Amino acid sequence: MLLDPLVILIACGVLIAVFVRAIWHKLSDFPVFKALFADYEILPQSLVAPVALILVVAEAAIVMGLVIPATRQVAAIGALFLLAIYGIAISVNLLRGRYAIDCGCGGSGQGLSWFLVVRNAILIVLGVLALASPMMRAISLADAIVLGLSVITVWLLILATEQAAANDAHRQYIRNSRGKG
Amino acid sequence: MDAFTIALILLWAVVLALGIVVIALGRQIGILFERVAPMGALMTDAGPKIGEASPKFALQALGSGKPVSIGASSGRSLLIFFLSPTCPVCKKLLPVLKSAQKAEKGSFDIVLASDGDAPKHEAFVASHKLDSFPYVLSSDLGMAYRVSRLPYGVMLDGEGTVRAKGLINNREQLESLFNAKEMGVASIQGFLDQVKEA
Repeated sequence: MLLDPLVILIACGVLIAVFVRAIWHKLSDFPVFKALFADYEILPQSLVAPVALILVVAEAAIVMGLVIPATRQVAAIGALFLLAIYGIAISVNLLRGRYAIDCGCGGSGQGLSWFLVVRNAILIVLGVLALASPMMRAISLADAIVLGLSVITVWLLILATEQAAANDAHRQYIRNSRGKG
Repeated sequence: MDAFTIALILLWAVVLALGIVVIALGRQIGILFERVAPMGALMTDAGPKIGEASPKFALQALGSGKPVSIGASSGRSLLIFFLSPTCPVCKKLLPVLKSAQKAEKGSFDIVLASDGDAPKHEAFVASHKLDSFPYVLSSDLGMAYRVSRLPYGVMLDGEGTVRAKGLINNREQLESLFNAKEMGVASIQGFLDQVKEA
């Protein structure tokens, strides 16, 4: 698949931002991340600690890989893989009816919801874009400016939708506990 | 610069500004929700459930080194109050805890729990005159109860069973933990559930 290089750069930029934040959240309180990860009840307890570490290393490798042009496509495949695994892990727990476990998305704690699965699906689309081969053309200053602004804009949108999802979870909780439809 | 360039610059500026405004509005709604109902901790209701036995811990109090046992069936109820020297709401609730300790001496004990380096906590104990409370440092304890936000309270009964737990933002929520056992309602949320059933 041939795509304009700017599209690929924007997709990479957003994925880098998403994974850098994920790494930051995991490392800023690694023991808590391990506990939250264990709550997903996907893996036996004995595997939780080593796999948690592997996930962080893998995310760091993906960020590095996306930054370096030569390894971009390999890293994009890795990102697709991880995003798919996370999406499946969340879906499995939603199907089990376990909405109340913390998603481990960082911040002040957020339950699981299908919103997270949709978000991962959209990020997977970005991963596919990042996987494409660029058409040959020179990158101008205008490209660089649009790249920066686009990544910031998408980032703001991600934060805003996550906030909206968190608010909606509050609303649903209050509604359920008061028994109004 | 032609009109298109100027329009583009303006549009980018507007889009970015609107993005920030949307986040700010969303955040404000979130804060309103947090004020209206004590949610956060209950949204993510992991860790030992109400009615389950507490995980058992044998800890040493900061300073005195006295043994503090949590989750054992000692015959006395225990309030574990998770706090941190850097949490402003925790400090606000300290006077309430002190008066509760005096008033409720007959019915339950209070343990303060945190984690991190001892010197910081010793300074905190000294500056807020908390020597009358057993003060334990254990990250495992906070982990066992999945304490993600502070201040957080856990009420155990004499048999070491979890009777109530939750995020505590104000005096009323703290008192709801005190009352939980007598009323047989685990939390404000539990109370709302009962109203629903009635």
